[in-house]
Amino acid sequence: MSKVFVVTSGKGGVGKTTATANLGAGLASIGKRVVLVDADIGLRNLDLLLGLENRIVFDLVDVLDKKCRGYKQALIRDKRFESLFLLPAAQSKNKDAVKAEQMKELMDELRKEFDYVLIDCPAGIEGGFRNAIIGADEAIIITNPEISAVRDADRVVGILESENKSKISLIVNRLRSELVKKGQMLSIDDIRGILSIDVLGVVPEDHKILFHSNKGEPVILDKFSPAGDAYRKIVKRLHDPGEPHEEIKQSKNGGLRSFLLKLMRSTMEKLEKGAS
Amino acid sequence: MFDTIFEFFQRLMGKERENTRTTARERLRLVLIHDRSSVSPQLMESLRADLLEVITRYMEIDSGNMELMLERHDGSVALAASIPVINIRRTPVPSAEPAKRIKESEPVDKSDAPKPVEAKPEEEIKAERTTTPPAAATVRSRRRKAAQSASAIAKKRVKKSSGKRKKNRP
Repeated sequence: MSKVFVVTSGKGGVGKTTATANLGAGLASIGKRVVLVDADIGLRNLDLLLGLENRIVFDLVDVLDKKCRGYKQALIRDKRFESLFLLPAAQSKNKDAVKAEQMKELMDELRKEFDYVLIDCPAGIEGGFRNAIIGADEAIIITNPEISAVRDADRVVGILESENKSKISLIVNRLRSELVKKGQMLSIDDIRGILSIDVLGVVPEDHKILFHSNKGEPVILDKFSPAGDAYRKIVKRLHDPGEPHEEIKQSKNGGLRSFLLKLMRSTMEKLEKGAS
Repeated sequence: MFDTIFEFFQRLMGKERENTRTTARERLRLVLIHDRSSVSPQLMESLRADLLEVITRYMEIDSGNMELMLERHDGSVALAASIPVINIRRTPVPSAEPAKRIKESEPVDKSDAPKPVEAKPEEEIKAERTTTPPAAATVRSRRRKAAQSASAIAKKRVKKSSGKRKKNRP
């Protein structure tokens, strides 16, 4: 059964587009037919993160205005996965170029063809956001362990619930467990307690995100990246909601332990150098 | 080098910086109480209706002039209600058969009620409500002799119970 997810956050810059690209690539890597819809009209970026920016001919607005033959003409097939497609946003138009009703119709058309439709929502809670959520069955909210991002996420949860979209789950992005341990960053439990929604996964802060976005490839393909690892677990859970949740804690503890070991080691080294 | 060692030991003792995580959590909790109530007036409206239903079992009140709001004080949010009381019932109406409510549109006829000399003007009562510290937040019902046209002020602290989201949030 196909599902339409909207990836949203309220606040900008928390990692919506990165999450969309990685979840899409992850689902495609397990053989699912996936389409990513960039609903951030005027500020398109999902194409860049997937390295598909040079292949765009038609875009979302062209499809909705029927300037091309159906959505299929605008779809771009991913370089790495046969079953992953991108429907890019228009770059020259603004967000008013789209009507909510048209978006809903398009999503219903896409769900017939694909196992998963992932919509990359624009930041904010205005028209563009409303257009992005209208055709979705479920919402994935991305937030950072930071008060402004959590507050905005709460606002988005409120709007989604008032639109009768009550299937909402949360991804906490850019967590630094060493800061949580030191009492300087909100923990997963803090955020879960405040927002009272299910946590789908936790993505640790990882410099490799930047490394891979520079190259235009999803970090989920990197077997040695902690963030990639986290996204792989989220994909499993997305595919099978029964997937156990202990994994989050394990990876968190593992990361913490290794950090403390690293800290000890580096301090010992410094002490030795100082002594000699 | 000694700085590094010093910092390391401070870190081991866990004393080097204040716990901003707790600060963040508390600030967020308080701001969200406010956000949620202002963003969803329906929530406050339904609370108001429920409160009215319970209170009218015990007292006759001027529901048209009832005020309900969240007040922020340092480090806590209080639910403040100002509810003018017209009369107090001798025995409460059982909950199974709720008391007949006074319609909001119906002007309350105060002329037949005896005018108590010691009743405070409405402004003064309001001023008192806003200056009452949350620490004294219990039901401050006025004495019966003053109750006929004065307000009963109910303050309930919501500090401990605030975190949960109302599932039926409209």
